[in-house]
Amino acid sequence: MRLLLRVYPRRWRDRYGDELLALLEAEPLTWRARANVVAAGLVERTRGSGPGHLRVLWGWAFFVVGGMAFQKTSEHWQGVFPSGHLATPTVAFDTVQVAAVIGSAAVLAGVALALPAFVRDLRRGGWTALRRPLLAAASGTIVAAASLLVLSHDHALAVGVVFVLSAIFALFASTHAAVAAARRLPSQRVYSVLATGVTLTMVVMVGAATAWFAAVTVRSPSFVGATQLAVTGAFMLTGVALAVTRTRTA
Amino acid sequence: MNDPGLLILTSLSSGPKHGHALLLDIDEFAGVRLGPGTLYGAITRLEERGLIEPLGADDRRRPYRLTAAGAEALEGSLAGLRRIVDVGTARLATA
Repeated sequence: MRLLLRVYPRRWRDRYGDELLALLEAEPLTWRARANVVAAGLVERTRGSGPGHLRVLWGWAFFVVGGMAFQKTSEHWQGVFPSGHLATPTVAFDTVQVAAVIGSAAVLAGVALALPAFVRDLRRGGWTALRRPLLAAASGTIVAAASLLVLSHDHALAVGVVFVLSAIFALFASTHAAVAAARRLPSQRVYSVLATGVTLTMVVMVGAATAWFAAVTVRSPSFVGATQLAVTGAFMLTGVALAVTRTRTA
Repeated sequence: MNDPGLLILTSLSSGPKHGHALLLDIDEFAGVRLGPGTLYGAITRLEERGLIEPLGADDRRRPYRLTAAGAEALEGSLAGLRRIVDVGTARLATA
């Protein structure tokens, strides 16, 4: 049961953890209650992520997972599509690609702008506070890179699963580390502008990906599986929801 | 009407309660079974806004009570709901 509480940020657990635990022990712990606690814990994690633009960073991390699923789902789609009806899905697909490049560039620009202040903070003692998240991110990245290397020689399913899981872990651990580091830095208006740009690219990508899925499903119903659609949609919409919420709460 | 914050404020208007007592009371008067995560999410928000405050912990359970600001917020929300009920009732009667 204590494991469930790990979903919440430590600061929240220190304040409310014992109370929530007492409540969970007082009632039969159903799967619905467990899911409710996990969802609420994730909300607390994103709420505790500081200014609005940092929430967009979390949104982008979720969106990237959805984008990876979309990329995998859409591989070689032109080959199964009737050649006379390529215009709409091609425009939609290209729109997703262009928006992804713009969004990634905006995120990287934010990272580059924050880098000098981040390095200064590390030199002034920030390392002690950031050591754990930075080491977690580095470990995840090393495992993901190593499994990718193995995957290039050995296409075993187990290696593929390790790669996907470690890549997702590395992505979220890196986002956690970036948010923890950014909370220690002075906020600048430019971050807010970049965050708005990233949010817009996510909205555009959701629209274009929906148009692509619709066009492909109509012409080649068997090309897109329900699981792929669900995974892509769930992560993309979670990302957009986090980013859009930022504009209301920031 | 199942806004967790409003349900908690309404429950606390009859006196301090801890998490489990809040769940049972809300279930009884509103027929709404809040999830444990939803309940504590709403408690967190209400406490941040100064609408409720914790009392001394009783073992691991901590009772909460309504603050003056919380009572005022509850009054305002109930007045708003009352207006909607009145308008809806009147319109249904003339329909």
